[in-house]
Amino acid sequence: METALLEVKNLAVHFQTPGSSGGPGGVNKAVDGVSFQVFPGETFGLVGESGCGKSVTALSLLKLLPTPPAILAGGEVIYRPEGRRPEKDLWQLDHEDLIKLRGKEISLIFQEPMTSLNPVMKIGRQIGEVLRIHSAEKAPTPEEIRREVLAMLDRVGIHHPERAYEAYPHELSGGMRQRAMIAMALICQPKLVIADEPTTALDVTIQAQILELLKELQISYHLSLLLITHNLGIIAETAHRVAVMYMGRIVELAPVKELFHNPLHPYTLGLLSSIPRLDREGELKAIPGMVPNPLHLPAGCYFAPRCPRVMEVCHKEYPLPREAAPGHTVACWLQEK
Amino acid sequence: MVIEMANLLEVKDLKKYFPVRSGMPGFGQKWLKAVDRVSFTIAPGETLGLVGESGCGKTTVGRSILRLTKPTGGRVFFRGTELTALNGRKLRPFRPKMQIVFQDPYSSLNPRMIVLDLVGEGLQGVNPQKKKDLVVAVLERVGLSPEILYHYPHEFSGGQRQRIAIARAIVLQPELLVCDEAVSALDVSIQAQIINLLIKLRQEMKIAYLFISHDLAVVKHISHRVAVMYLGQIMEIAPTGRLFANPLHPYTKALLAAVPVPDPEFKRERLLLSGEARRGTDMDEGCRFAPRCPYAENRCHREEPPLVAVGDGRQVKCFLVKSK
Repeated sequence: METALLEVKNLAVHFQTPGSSGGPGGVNKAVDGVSFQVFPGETFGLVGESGCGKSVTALSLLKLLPTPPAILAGGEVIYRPEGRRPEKDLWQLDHEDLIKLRGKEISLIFQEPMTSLNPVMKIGRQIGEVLRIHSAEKAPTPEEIRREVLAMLDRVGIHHPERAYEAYPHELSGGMRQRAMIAMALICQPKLVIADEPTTALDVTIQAQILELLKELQISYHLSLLLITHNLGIIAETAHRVAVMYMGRIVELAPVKELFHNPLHPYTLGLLSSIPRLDREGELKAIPGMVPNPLHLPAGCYFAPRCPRVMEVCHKEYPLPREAAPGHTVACWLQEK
Repeated sequence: MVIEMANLLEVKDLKKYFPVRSGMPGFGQKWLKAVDRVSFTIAPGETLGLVGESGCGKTTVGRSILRLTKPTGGRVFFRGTELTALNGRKLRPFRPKMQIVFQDPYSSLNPRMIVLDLVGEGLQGVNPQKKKDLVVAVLERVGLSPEILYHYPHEFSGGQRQRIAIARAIVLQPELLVCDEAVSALDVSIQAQIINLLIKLRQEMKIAYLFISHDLAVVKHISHRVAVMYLGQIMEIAPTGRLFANPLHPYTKALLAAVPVPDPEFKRERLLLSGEARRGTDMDEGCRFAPRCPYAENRCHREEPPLVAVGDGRQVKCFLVKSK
C-alpha cells in the first residue's frame, strides 16, 4: 500500500460565537473529528452543502484561519513529502517553517480570483513573487523569474502570456484570472494543491475548460489535489476518491464510482436524488427539512431529524464510521445490523 | 403536452441597449446590446426556460417584460394588449398579473417588514382581517406555517425566505411569474424542495413561468420549452425534450457538453469552446457566436444568420442547420 502524502487525523476546528441581539453565544463545531488521506497523484474530493465545514477543513490544514475566532481544537495534519522522513505535523510546525511550505509544497486555489489576487499588482509580478520568496539557496535573476512565469502562463493556456504578464487582475476575464491563479499555485511545482470551489464563480463553458486544465496539469506534474466543491457533477468527473460532509463530519468516504453507484449513507442518497440532472428524467426527491442549528446539534446522528430511515438508536448516539467495503466507510446505524 | 392556444405573452423584437462611455463625448457613441431583437411567446400555464451564461441578457429580458426597466425597442403583448404602448397608471392593472421572484432572498425581502406585511403588501384595498386570511392561505400553499406571520426575514433560512418571496409573488394570483435565478442561491437539498414547490404551484394555479437560469439541469427539469441565449440573442428555441436529446445550434451543443454529470462512468464528447464571450458592444457583423464556434465558416463572420423554424416547434439561428 502506498503511503499517503497527506494524512488528516481527527481534525477539529471550532468557532467561539458571540451571542447576538441578546441571544446566547456558543461553540460552533464547524469541523469535528474529520479524518482522511490524500495519496500522491490523487484527486480527493470533499463535497457537501454550505456550512458543512468543507472550506474550514481546507483552510485549517495550512493554519490559514484567524485564531480567534477559530480554535484549532485538535487533530493531526501529517504531511509526508516523498522520500523525506520523518513526517511532519503541519499544525506543530513553527510559523517560519509553515510559511516556507505554503505556496511551495502545498498551494491553494480559491473560488474568486478577483478577491484573492492583489488588485494593484501586475499578474506577472504577483506570480514571480512566489518564485522569488521560495527560492531559498540561490536567488533567481529577474530575467529567470520572468522567463519562468511566462512559461507557466503559457502552460495554463493563456494565449498572450506577455500581455497577461503586464496586466492587472481586473483587466483579465474571470476564466483568465483563474488560469493566472492556477499558474501562481503551480509555479513552485508543489506536491499538493488545495482547490476550494475553483470553478464555482465561472460560467459552465469556462468551468469545463478549467477542469480539463486541472486534470491535465495533475497528470503532467503528478500533483495531489484536494478538491472542495458542492457540485457532485464536478466530483464525478474529476475525483478519484470522495468524502461527503454533513455538519462538520464525514458521513461517507469511498472511491468515486463506489459512492455514486452504491451510496450507503441516507444523506448521500438524498443528495444524489435531489439534483436535477441532464442524463436522467424523473421527479426530484428533496431531502425534507433543513440543516440543524450548529449551536444546538441533535443528540444522536446529526442527520437523524431529516433521515427517511431513522431508527430509535439514531436519536441517542452518533454512529461510528464503519468499513462497509474496502475503502468505503460509512457513519450510519443502518450499517450495524 | 402544450396545446396550441392564444398566447399569454408575446415578445417581439425586444431590444435593450445600454450606452457605454467611450472616447470623446458626441463621437461614436457605443451601445452595449444587452438584448437584441429577442422574440418568443409563452402560452397560458406554460413554462419557458431562458438559459444562458452570465452577461447574455437573460435577466434583462425578464426585467424588460415586467417593465422594471424600459426596453429600447420592440413590443411586448400580454393577453393581446401591447404593454410597451402603456405607461404609468395605464400599466398598473397589468402589474398584479405579472410577478417576479429574484435570486437572492436575503436582499429581495425588506428586513424591516414582518412576513404578514411582506406577503400582503400587494393586496391593496383589502381589509386587515381579509388580508391576514389571504396571507395565511398562501403561506400554507408554499409550505410555511401561519405562526411565522409576525416574524422578520432574518429569522429564516435561505429556503424559507425563498418560500416567502414566492408567497409574496403568488398572493395576487398572477398569470405569469418570472423566476430570475430563483433557485440558484440555494443548496441542492433545499433547491429540490423549491423546484418541486414551483411545479406544484404551476399545476394548482395554472401559472405560466418565464424561468431564467444559468443551470441547464434545473431548466431541463422544470421547462416545457427552452430558449438558449448568447450575447443578447436567442440562438435556439425548442421543446425541452428535443433540445436536450438533440441540440442543433453549436452553442447549445457546447453548453450541454460542458455540464458536469454526476456519474463517474458517464462518457461524453466534450466540445470544448476556445476563448470566452466577447463584450456585447459593436457586434453588428456576423454571427455572435462565430468567434468561438468550432464550425464557423467565412460566411458566419460576415453575415448574421436569421432565427428560422426547422420543424418540430424548433427555431435555430445558424447557417449550418438546414431550415424546413
